[in-house]
Amino acid sequence: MIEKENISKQESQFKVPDRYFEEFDQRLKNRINPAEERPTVSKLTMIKPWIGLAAAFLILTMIYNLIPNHILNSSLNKSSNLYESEEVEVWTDESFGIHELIDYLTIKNIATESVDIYPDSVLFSDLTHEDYIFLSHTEY
Amino acid sequence: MHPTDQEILVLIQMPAEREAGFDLLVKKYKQRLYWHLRKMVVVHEDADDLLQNTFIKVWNNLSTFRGDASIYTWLYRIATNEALNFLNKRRDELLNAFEDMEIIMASQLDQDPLFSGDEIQKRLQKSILTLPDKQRLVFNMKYFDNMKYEEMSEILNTSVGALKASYFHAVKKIRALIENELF
Repeated sequence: MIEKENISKQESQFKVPDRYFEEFDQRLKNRINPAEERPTVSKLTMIKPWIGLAAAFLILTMIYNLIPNHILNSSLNKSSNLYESEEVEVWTDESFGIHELIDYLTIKNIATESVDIYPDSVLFSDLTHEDYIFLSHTEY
Repeated sequence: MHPTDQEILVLIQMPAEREAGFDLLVKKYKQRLYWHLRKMVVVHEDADDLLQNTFIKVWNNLSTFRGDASIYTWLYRIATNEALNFLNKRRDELLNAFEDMEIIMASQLDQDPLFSGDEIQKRLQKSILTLPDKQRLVFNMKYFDNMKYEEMSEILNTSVGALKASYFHAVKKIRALIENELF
């Protein structure tokens, strides 16, 4: 017969490490709530910097596209002003012969620098080889 | 002086006070649950693991506890299932190694520095280890914890009659082992 009074309670036969029960609560808490849980970050917060970067890039692209065109247009205008000159229509058909051309140039008093005379001009049609040499060494 | 189960239940059911209620629950029942587990698994480290796992499960399911069973019964049921699952898993591991778990646990008892019982007590423990797990539970809960059969019936989900029969056979077997000095 198992005599209960002769056999100690099971608990007294088994021992536990020192302060086991006193420290159990804290160990359990450490397992349930690990230290310093990271706060959850919303997806929007995560992509905000990228949105900002994309917006900055878009603005820079727009500026790059717009401003140079504006500047370029204005500088083109200036250069066109620089080069603006009175257009001179020169007819080179047979009705506008050399004498008419000379008259035109002298009466109109157009600076010779503003007139482009090409080698095939009617002005040179009667010139000899010696005339060319003479003209090339003459200063006007 | 511990608060009553009813007082703890009231705290648990308030989300703002749930943690405080849980702390009181741990303080009140940790020792009883520990010894319940220790008797089943023998080794202190295993009992410690199971006790923590039990309370973690309790914490995770506090919000769903409806109070239809007493807190005590609920805790014991979780702890008991933890112990049985642990033993089944250990047994499965040993099956592959062709080792007998009862022999291993008896050997652990011999080598355990945290067992301070005399030779008779050791023989009793080793005899208890020969019982099937559920029968061992019944024996421990009745003999050492002096639990009522109605309480055990709720925890183990077994009829009172079956529990009485199980305990009767457990006592008979242990007596035979000790009297025949098989341990």
